[in-house]
Amino acid sequence: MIKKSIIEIIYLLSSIIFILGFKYLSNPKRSRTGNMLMAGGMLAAIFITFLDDKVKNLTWIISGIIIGSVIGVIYSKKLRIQFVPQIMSFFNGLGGIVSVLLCFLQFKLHPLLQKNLVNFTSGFLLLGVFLGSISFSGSLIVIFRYFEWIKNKSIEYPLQKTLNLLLFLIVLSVGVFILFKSQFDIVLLFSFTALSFLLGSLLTLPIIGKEVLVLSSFLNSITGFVITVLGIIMNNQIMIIGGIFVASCGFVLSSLLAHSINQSIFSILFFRKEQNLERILSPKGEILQETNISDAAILLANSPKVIIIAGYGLSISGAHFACKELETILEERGVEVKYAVHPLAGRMPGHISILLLEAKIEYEKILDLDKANRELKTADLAFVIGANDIINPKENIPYLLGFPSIDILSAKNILILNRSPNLGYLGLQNSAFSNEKTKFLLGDAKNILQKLIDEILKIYK
Amino acid sequence: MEEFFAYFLAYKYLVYLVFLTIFVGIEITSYIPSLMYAPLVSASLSLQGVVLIGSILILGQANEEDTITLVLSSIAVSLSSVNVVGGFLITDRMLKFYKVSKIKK
Repeated sequence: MIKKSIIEIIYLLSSIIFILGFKYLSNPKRSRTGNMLMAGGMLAAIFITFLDDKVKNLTWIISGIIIGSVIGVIYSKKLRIQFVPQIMSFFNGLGGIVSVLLCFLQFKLHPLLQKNLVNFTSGFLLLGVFLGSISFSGSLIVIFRYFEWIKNKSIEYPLQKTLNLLLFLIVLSVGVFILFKSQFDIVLLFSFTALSFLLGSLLTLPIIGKEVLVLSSFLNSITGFVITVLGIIMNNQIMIIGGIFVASCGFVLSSLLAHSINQSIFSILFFRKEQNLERILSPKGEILQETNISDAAILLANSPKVIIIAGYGLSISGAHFACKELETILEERGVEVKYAVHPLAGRMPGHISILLLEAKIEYEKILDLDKANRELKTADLAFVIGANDIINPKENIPYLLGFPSIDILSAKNILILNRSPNLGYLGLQNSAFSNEKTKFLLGDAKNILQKLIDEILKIYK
Repeated sequence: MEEFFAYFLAYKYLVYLVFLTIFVGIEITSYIPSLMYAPLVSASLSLQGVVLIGSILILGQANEEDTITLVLSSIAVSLSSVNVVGGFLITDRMLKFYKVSKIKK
């Protein structure tokens, strides 16, 4: 009795701490405390669970936790910040597969459930298996996309939506069949899981470009929902509350992002319109003025106000430290340097900001979209590093994609450093590339930035 | 239908908890500046680690002869602890960058 109430009190405290943690997290000054608070609340909730009388097999539990923690520590230390989006989707996949496992085990542990399946609990469990598998397979597809193991193209085939709907109906009927069959049938359960898994990957395969950002947040939200369902079944308050926080956080983020590309989550998932991108795109960028390192160096060093627009290219080439070095050198010469980061830049919300901050670039210098567009009007040079779609002038972006872009054309000069003048991730042609103000530097961002730094030092010292 | 209402009455506090928490959850995550998105995502992923508690409870209840349950739930325990530990450490690593840039100022 006392033990039980101690556990419940700690769970209650942990839930309150989670709320405070989220509150603190929104303020950059207190965010680290917020994260510590949440970790503390989590640890307290985990360790107090050992007090439960039902918990036996301590050696198994502790060795499992130790193995997992060691892997977690290694992952977090070795991880390069560029790969944060991948690891986030990986974690989400883990959450999904663990919830599916737990739903299976619930069926196994409760013989009563197996005799009489027509009730709320088994219905909820099947829902958990269904959504957990979708979240797992969807996250795998997202990871493949981020690593570009799947070709950077929307995978579409005729009757796609009809086939998906058909598959969904099959999954649904298998589920209903499991519930109303007089005996529990493990083969049916496994085929139900496999079909949900397939449905998850088929639903996510056609999604490309910036929509993947929305998708990955939405998958977090689904995993959170499954955890909530599990918490309801296991009658465990901390799981319910934690799950709901994860779900609402994912939902809020994905709807904010979907809103910023003028779409809704549901239209991305289920009613994807044919975008007919072929019509707008041409195979290669048009004429461009290529420049050389020394001209670019002189241009950079003689512009009083430079705004660096960083995109995904900065991340793949790992050029953020070189970027900071360039900033220091330019500032010594009295150049004002600021950064513009589009909310959709990179492969995860906030991806590029984190990289710039890793290179110790000041928080105050990183402008969001609105501020960047205001500052660009007075800027002498817009220096684009590894970005394409986010700087595309608005008229080139089809209405369906219609997200606001960074208006580099309002700056006096434009210098673009990209791997190639080819089409961006979305496959759109970029008229900023062929503008008369635009000068091009082609090559790997880190390499070229280093050369630029050397050149500026050589000329002006 | 009667069964449904019976369920509702029996679990009404649970229903309250779920619905009110949804509003709290949306409220606390809505006003986050776009610069903080990455740590927010990573913090919410580490919070997914609450499944570890469920896994511990299930592994704890497993019969000692029941090898399948033991093995499967141990896998669940270790995978979800990867989530908890990795998630919080990575969030902390990200947040350190914000701190550094503040001190420099």
